[in-house]
Amino acid sequence: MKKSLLLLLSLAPAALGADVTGRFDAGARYREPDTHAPAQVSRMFMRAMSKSGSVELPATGKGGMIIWTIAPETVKTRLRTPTGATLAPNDKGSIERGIRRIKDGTDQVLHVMRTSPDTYAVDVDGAATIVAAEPDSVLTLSTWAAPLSRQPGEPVTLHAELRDGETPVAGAKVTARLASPNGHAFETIALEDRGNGVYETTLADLPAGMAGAWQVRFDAEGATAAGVRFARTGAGELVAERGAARLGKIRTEVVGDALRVSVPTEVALAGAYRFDVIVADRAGNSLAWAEGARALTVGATSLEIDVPLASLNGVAVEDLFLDARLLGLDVMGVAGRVTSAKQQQQ
Amino acid sequence: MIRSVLLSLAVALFASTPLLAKTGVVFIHGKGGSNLAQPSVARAYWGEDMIRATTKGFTVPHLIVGYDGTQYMWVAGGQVAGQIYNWMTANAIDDIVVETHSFGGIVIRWILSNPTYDSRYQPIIDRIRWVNSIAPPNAGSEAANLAGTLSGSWLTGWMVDLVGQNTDSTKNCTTSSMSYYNTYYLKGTAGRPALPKTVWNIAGTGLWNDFVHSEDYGLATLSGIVGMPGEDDGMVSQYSAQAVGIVWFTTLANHHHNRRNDYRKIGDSLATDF
Repeated sequence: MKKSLLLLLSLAPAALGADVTGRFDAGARYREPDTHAPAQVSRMFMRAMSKSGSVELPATGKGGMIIWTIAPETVKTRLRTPTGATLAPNDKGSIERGIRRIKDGTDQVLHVMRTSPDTYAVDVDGAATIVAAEPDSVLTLSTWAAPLSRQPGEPVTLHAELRDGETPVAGAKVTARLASPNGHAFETIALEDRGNGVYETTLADLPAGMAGAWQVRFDAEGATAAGVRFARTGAGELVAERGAARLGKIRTEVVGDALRVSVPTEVALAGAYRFDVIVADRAGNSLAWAEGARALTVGATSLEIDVPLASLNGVAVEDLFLDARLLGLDVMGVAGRVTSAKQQQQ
Repeated sequence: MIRSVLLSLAVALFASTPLLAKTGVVFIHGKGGSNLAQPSVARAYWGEDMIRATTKGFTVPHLIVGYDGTQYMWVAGGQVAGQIYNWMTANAIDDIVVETHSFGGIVIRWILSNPTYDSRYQPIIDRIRWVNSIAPPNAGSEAANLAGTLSGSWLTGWMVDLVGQNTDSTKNCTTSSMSYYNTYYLKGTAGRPALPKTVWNIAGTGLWNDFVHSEDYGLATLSGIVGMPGEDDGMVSQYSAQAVGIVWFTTLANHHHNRRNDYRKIGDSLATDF
């Protein structure tokens, strides 16, 4: 035990620093943590080639297309357009021709200044990754993964949304692939068409019990209502938490000139943590906050922190809303969260 | 206007205590290679003219911080804090203006947001007047998202050097990661406690600055590929840079140029603090 405590102290030399408190700016509104990160909006798609060959590049015909080829060594690229025009290797193209080679080398950039709604192709004489983007296109793939902070046992939602301007795109093939924090990519997962352009799947669990940031790659292929083919690649991310602790019900009592907030906690993983409390009124106005580092060992404990009563704008204790969080400091992550409204572990 | 008033107040305050006040400026670079920990590489990141202009011909005491540009903000924060702490202590600097570029703005936010994490943080925070944050990815960078999507590809070459390898610092800067950190670990965004010191942000809104540097082609191409919303500097969108702090000004200098004093004289603007 003594060794563990010594180790904790050495890992986080400031873990016993004094607690810090503060007031929110007047008018600040309490914000519940987002269930997922803002959607990533894509107008591009990717294709990987393990050897020489051709890649089809469906264009929506609204604006230009940038084609970026990334290769381990310099490769020759040839662009073919639906009209039969080509941009041969070493051909710089021109504005007048509407096709240009902006950059040579191991990563090359080709530019079609104005596409038609048809299929282009690029021939590559070696292994390469092709990224094709239509910056001006209104056909978008918006993606996210949830929950952003995911405790062990929580289901995982992979969400994609296809829009052609305001019009939902139905009948597309949308897949997702999870990559663990160590970069291992798992099997492709098909997303279900839920209607209104939404494609989604819910997983009971992650394919591996590895804590950290999981990245998700989404790929979509299909055709618009007008029959124009498209492809899009998107991304998302969530943090698989370690299940480091379980927080019980928040308790409060007035001690001197402070509101003492305490939360019974079962610690599963010893370490350095930060105990955060946000105090708001029932109308959703954030009032005050407090935080302090704690060196915790495995087992039951009570987390406590004092919030000055003077910072609560005279709001009665029973009318306060509290949001308590335990955050890892030697391993970053949300160990647990509980609010006075829900009184349940997140 | 607000800034001018605050500057006048700061000058008046420090002028009234001449024996105690000694002003200095700290430069914190963005993400990149591990070699950014080398002083010469960190200095070259900014360019000599940026440092000269900001420090009024090197007359203002200054520190060019170097740290491993591949690491998460809390690792970088420790390296940065060590250098600032030693420098300010050795030179009795007690009024620090911090200039950051890109990820450097996230590193200083980590320090400002987590005063109890490291015993050196609070003394540093106490001495900071304010932070001038150039093109910080406060809400993340869509370019960093692309690095994650490209993970497993051959991440070498011209534009990939701009995107950044899928290092810890790049992972730190994805829009999802910054959403997570802004929710739990960092202060200064909507709904979170305020930062203990003012941050003035400078967002880049230009792409084609000149046709000499390949970086300009790369940033313009990158902006198109990743589909940054609104205005951007090729690496960081305006909305993201302005997600924390007060807008000081925007610049047409792109992400390559807005850490330098060339396409736009940003160093001259920073020098008005002294």
